[in-house]
Amino acid sequence: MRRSFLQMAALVAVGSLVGLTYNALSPNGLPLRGGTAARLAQEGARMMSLQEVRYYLQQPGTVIVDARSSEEFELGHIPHALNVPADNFAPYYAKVAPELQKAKLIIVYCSGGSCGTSEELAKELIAKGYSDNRVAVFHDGLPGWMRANLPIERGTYKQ
Amino acid sequence: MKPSGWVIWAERIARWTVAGIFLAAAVPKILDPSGFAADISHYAMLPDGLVNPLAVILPWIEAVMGLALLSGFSAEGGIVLANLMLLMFLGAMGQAWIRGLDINCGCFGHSGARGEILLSILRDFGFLAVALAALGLRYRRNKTGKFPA
Repeated sequence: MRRSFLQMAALVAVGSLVGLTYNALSPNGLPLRGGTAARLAQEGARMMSLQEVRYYLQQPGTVIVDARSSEEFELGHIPHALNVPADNFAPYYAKVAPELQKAKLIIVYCSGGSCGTSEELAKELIAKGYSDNRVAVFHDGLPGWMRANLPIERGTYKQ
Repeated sequence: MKPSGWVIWAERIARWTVAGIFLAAAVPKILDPSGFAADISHYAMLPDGLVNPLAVILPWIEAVMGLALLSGFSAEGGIVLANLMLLMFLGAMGQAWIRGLDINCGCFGHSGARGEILLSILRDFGFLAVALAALGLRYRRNKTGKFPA
C-alpha cells in the first residue's frame, strides 16, 4: 500500500515536472498565469467583460456575432447581433463577410463559460485574417447579458 | 507460491491496454495545450487560474503513467493512479452531464464536437472496468508470489 502510494506520488511529480519543463521550452507553451484571458491573448483574441461589451457596442465600427446555432439564435440573441454558427462557419460567414470586413471590432459570444463555440468562431475569424486584437470573446455570453436584465431580440437576422 | 501463467498474462494485457488508452489520450493534449485548456474551462468546475497549469501538467502525468504501465516500472502505483484518474474524469463528466452542459469531453484531445458527454461517460466506465481488472490481477499476482517488473 505504502509502496503504491510512493510510486503514485513519484509518477505525479515526474509528470508535473516534465510538463512544466516542456511547456517552458515549447513554442506552443501555455501562459501559466492569467487563465482564459491569457490563453485567448496568445491566440490573438481578447476577453471582454459585460461592461466592456456594453461600452464598445456604443462605439461605431463594433459588430457583435452570435456563435450559436441558427435555432438558438432565433430563440433570443443580443440586439443587432449577426449569426455565424461556429460549427457551420463557411456559409454563414459568406453572408456577413462584408459587414465583418468593415468592422473595427468583432465581439463574439455563445452560451457562456461552458460554451466553446465563441472561442471556435474567434479562431476561425483570426484564421481569416481578422487579427491585431480585432476579435474579442464575450465570455459570459448570452446568460451574462440576460443576468444583467438587458434586452434581447428574437427571430432571424435581417440583412 | 508462484502466480499462474494466466494471471501474469491477463495482468500484463490489462495493464498494457490501460497504458495504451492513457498514452493515446496524452499525445493530442500535449500537442494542443490551448485546446485542452479550453476543454477544461468548459467544465466550469475549477477556478480560472488553475485551468492553464492543469492543462500543462495533466497530459504529462497521463504520459508518464502510461509509460510506467507499459514498462512495468512503478506499475503498481501506475495502476492505482490510473483508477483514481478515471474516477476523477468520470466525476467531472458526470457533473457536466447532470448540469446539462453541452460540451466536448476533451478526453482524447480538442474537437469542436458537442453533445457527446454521455457517450464519453459510458466509454470511461469501460476503461475503468479494464483498469480495475488490472488492479485486481496485480494484487493477485503480488499475493501469490514475486512478480517480475
